Amino acid sequence: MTTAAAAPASLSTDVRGREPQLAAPPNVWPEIAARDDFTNLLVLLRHAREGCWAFALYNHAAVREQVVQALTTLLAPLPVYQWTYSPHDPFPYSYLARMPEAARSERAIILLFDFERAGAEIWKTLDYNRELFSAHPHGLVFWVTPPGRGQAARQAPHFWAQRSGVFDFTVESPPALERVQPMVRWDISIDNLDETQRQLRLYQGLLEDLAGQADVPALFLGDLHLKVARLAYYVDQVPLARQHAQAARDIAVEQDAARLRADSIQALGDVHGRLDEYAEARARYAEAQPIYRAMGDRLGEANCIRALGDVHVQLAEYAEARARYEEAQPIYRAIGDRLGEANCIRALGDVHVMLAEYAEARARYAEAQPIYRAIGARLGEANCIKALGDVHVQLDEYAEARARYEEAQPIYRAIGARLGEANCIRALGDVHVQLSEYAEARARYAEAQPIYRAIGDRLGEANCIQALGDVHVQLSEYAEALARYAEAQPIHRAMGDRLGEANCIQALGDVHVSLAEYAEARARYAEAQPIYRAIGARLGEANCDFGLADVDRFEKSWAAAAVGYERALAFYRSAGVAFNTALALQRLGYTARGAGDIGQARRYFGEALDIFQRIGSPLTASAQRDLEALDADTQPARHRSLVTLLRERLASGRRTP
Amino acid sequence: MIGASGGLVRTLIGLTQFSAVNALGRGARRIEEPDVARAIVELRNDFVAALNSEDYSILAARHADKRLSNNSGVHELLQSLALLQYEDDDGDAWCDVHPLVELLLQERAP
Repeated sequence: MTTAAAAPASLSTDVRGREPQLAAPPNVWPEIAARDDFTNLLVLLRHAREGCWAFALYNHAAVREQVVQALTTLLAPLPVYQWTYSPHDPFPYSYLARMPEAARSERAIILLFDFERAGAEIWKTLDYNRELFSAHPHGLVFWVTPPGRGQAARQAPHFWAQRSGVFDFTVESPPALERVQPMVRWDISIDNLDETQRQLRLYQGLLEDLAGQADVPALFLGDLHLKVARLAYYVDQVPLARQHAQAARDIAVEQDAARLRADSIQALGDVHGRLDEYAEARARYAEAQPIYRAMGDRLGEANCIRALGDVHVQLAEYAEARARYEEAQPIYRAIGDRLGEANCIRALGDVHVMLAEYAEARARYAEAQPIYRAIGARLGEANCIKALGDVHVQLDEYAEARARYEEAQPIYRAIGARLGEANCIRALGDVHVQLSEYAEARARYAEAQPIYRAIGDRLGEANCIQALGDVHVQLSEYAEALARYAEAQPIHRAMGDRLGEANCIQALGDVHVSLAEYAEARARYAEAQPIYRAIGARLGEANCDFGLADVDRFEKSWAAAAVGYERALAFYRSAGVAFNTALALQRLGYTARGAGDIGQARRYFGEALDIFQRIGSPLTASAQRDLEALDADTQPARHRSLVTLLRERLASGRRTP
Repeated sequence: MIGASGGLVRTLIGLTQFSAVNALGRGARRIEEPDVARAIVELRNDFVAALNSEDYSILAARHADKRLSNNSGVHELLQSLALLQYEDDDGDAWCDVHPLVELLLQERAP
């Protein structure tokens, strides 16, 4: 599209003259307001139906932001959705998963951003799947830079050929600082993914707009870098968060700006924590804390101390974690930050849970909950109720757990905290699993999964899919279970969740064992075990030994099986995992029986039975049956021995007693 | 408009749609000559954005000899419709540049 060289007219007059139904638009870049492209794009989108997509060219994020706001206002009541692509989520149709189910078949306008940041493959993916875009009554606008237009034309030629227009919103001069500054909020918003994405792409774009401009204050740039770091952190773009936190820190050091320095170092601590680099995270928080203290910023100081507590939790250093939380709590109280105080109390509850001190945990949650309620922090309140539900689960009090989850879920829903809502639904699924109510569990997981997907929580989604796999296993639906685990595994991998990935691979091995596909099972265990080892997940490693031993036992490799079970058993004993210990002993019993060593088998079964009885496991009956079967099996042998002895004595002329 | 479409029905429909948007955008209910002229300029500009200097060399050569060849440069230009494939009455394939690209070639000719 060409750029009209008309004198800047009043936009409202201009647009109203053409389309009487249009309301006066909000503040639009004057140079853009005068263009036919702006009006023509509005006209196109008002008439857009299936298969209508256009490209909007821009070269400065600040201008794009204003045009987007104006379009959104002028298109009302037609709903306008926005979606930002990233290397983390480069799938062209991700926007559909974010839309409410009903809205997918309703007319809407979708504005799509940052294709150029999503990786080179996205254009091809777009080209191959273009017909899917035509399946919904949505008018699509792809915001691209001039180089992006060239990429689209060359790398997605079929998609490009079906465009309904290219509308030019490029401007000759970069936006001046005074136009940019009002676009930057003083805080960042992380309550809503759409808004988080909007701020992230805007601030990234503004940094590019301002690059090279001489009169931009360094601290303004440093603040933008810090905001990008924090926003990127919250949408799981950790490498991006690290890059901008470092840039902010560099500016802070150069400018000798204490607050920016402390904030950026704390942000780096958060990044390290997310990457499981706990030593570095601890070092960063310990570095930021005295800076806050020297500035008299007690909130910053308390936040660092609490973050140090969080690191200790991750390192299973619960005594140290407790000390940190107990150190931070009175600071929050002294400065009247009741939210921080309640967060510390709840974190102390979490520590008690980790130490299996459930009564203390319950007391902490019950202490924090009314504080959250008093200050109207409904999210915190719901988190406490959910945590109380989790404690009930630990105590096998499933009815009470269900009640807590059902109490928390509507609070989460009411405040739009979809993650909390999804977590509650998933937890209800877990309760159903514990009660062997698999149909209900399946329904819960299937309810939670699309919520996780809609909010972009891929890990939560993968966990749901994996849980659905577990339900299929319980129902002996092995083909479905394989499909679910195979679906969840790449998501875990993409998210860098190596434990989740290994768990999926191991679960695939378990299913293959159930299907008597021993070669596949062995391959899966052998694939999962080094991952567990690399991340220090010794339980998973031992479980793989156990699985491989199962395969050996089914293939009647008794000696190899015994070695594998013994290795797993040694870990289970040392870790005090009673159920697994008993299970390994039972399997060793089967192995000894298979190898013909009945005495050894009896000893293993006996020890397994003792443990199962002690922990009240439902497998007690099975261990009892194993022992009885062993006795029954050995009866004919005993009879045979007596007959042999009788024959020998008769042959030797001796009389039997 | 038919001439500017290079004989491609999809492009013809696209040009018609661009023209309709231009007409509606200026408040008219009928497509007039300036709307079409502007739509053609829009399509031409899209070619300008998509083509690089190497493309122009290939396009000039193909415009001169009309011969199809199986190399990636030609393939890409066929995909982007800068180069169009035709058949003569005997079913033999040949190619030439899109009419709008031909104008671009003339503008860039030394």
